[in-house]
Amino acid sequence: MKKTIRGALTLGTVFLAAGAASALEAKMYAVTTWNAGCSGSTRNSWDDMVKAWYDDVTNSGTSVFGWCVSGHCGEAYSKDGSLINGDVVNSRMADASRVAWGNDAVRLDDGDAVMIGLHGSDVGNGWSGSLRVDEPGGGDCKITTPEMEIGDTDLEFLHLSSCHSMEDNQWSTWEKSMAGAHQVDGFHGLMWIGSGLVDDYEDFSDDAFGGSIADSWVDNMYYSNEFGDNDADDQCPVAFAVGSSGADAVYRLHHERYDHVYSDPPNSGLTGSGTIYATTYISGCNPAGEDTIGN
Amino acid sequence: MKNQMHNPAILGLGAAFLMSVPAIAQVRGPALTAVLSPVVAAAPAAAAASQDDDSAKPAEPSPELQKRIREQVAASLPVWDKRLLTSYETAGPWEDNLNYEALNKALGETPFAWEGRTVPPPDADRLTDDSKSMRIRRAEGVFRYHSRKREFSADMKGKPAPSYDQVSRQIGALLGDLKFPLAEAGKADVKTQEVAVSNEAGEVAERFPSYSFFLLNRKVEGIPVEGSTVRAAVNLRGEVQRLKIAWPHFRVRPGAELLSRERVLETALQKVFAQDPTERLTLASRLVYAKTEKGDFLPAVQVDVNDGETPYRMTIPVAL
Repeated sequence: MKKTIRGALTLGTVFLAAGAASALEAKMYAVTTWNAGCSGSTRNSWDDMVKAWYDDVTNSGTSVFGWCVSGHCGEAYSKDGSLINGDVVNSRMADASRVAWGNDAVRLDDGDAVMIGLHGSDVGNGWSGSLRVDEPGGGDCKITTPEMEIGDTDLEFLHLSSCHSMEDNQWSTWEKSMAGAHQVDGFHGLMWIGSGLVDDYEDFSDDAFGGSIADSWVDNMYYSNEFGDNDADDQCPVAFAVGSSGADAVYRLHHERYDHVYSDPPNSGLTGSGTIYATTYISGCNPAGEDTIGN
Repeated sequence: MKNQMHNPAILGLGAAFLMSVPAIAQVRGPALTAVLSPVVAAAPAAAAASQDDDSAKPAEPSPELQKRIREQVAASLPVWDKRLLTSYETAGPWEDNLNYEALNKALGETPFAWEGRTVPPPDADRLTDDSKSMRIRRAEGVFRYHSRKREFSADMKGKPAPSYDQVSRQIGALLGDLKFPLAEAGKADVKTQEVAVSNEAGEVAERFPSYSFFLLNRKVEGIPVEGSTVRAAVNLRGEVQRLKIAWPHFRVRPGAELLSRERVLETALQKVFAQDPTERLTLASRLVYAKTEKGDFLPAVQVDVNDGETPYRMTIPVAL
């Protein structure tokens, strides 16, 4: 869907599309093996997890007598690119208005819903993702939140399968990267990789056609006392949305679906003063690698 | 299932008309698939700009590190015996109670807008109208529900989240209506789903509850069952807004035999060695039951590995 269609709908939350979502596009980027100039430990199941999301969100399924009996039928997103390992470089995700080498307009920002699976860390109150290829020029082997400006081309929904990607100290930094994007979903602290977690990613996509994207992220990614020594570690998903006011941001957070897309929120930009953000998470969530959320 | 009448003329002809691609959503990748078939070819990418290159093998860890990790994994693996090959089986096909009329009643919902005018095909797994969505997969023991009229709204702001007692009693009664096998349920947990809202300076200005969040995990004879869960969100008016049940019929594969500890250890080691282990590696292990691609269950060991970068979990069967 082209940005020009939405340009006039910037005041508050205006319902934009339902049943016409066939024009919406999904993309995925995932790395399992960092062996092309950048360092990172191999994680074999990561592509399966992200691909489970990608396959579901683009699954048009089957219709019988006008009933959609499987998949998402006319509301499925179209496949706009699946990059597993290969040339996963920072210029694909950085914006030219932030860094000279940025070129996300025809890559990351060209999709309507995109999922990225990379190692991640918390750097300077923002996310830092570990890329695979050390691209000539700036940026080295990382993509960081301040290098990103999302939604100025097309992107509405960005999902980060990455540690430390939406920590509670990063929210104001993410707000400054929102340039028309609606929502970013990530994790506070460490998230986990595993073949047994693949279905969570499919279910997240599937649920986000019937219920809110943010709530579906929380429902499917949250784990309580599940991992590590004595099952002590939680997995803490966080959904982040912006709006023209607090009420607008909260409404978007709990109501926007893949098959019910609102108009773009205001462009927040570098100052972060154009929008209010709202996040949702499970209170008291205490992951490995971070303090309890909200503390 | 959505009632998308995109071609009403077809109804008049009374002929089945299959549209679009095969129902790949029905095919899910259970936890043990990758373990039992270590080399899984990537599916052909149908998309433009699709690229997959994950065939390169990482460098082998040094002999000293391999020795140390072998000792760590051997010390971490729990002890198992033939009691894991239990003859226990979930009593009664509770999944048969997953029909939309009974579910609407149990949830205190209104009938679907299309009820009385049309009937969905019997194999339909997704049912939707303007106010709610259901997904019913009886064969997999899966049910999901989302209400749109029960979503958080501004008039709920400031109300307290429903208590543990209220929510656990409410969901327990709902599950009881479905003849759900509550004997397999562990202790329920109730959390609070919270919202944080910023001010114009980008600081968190307020936090408030939006739902109570109910979780129930499954145990069979004291052993957790991977992937089996009940999750629900109860809004601040005390209504169930979301419900997810994933509770497939439990039966350990008939004729399954235990694997030797050495074989399981070697499988675990090969998986660790393939993921660039370092001196920082720490492990935690536990026994579970894991669903197989055949739909039955096998006892397995879950090994959680934390190694400085993204942590990972391996699920390795201890019987085949």
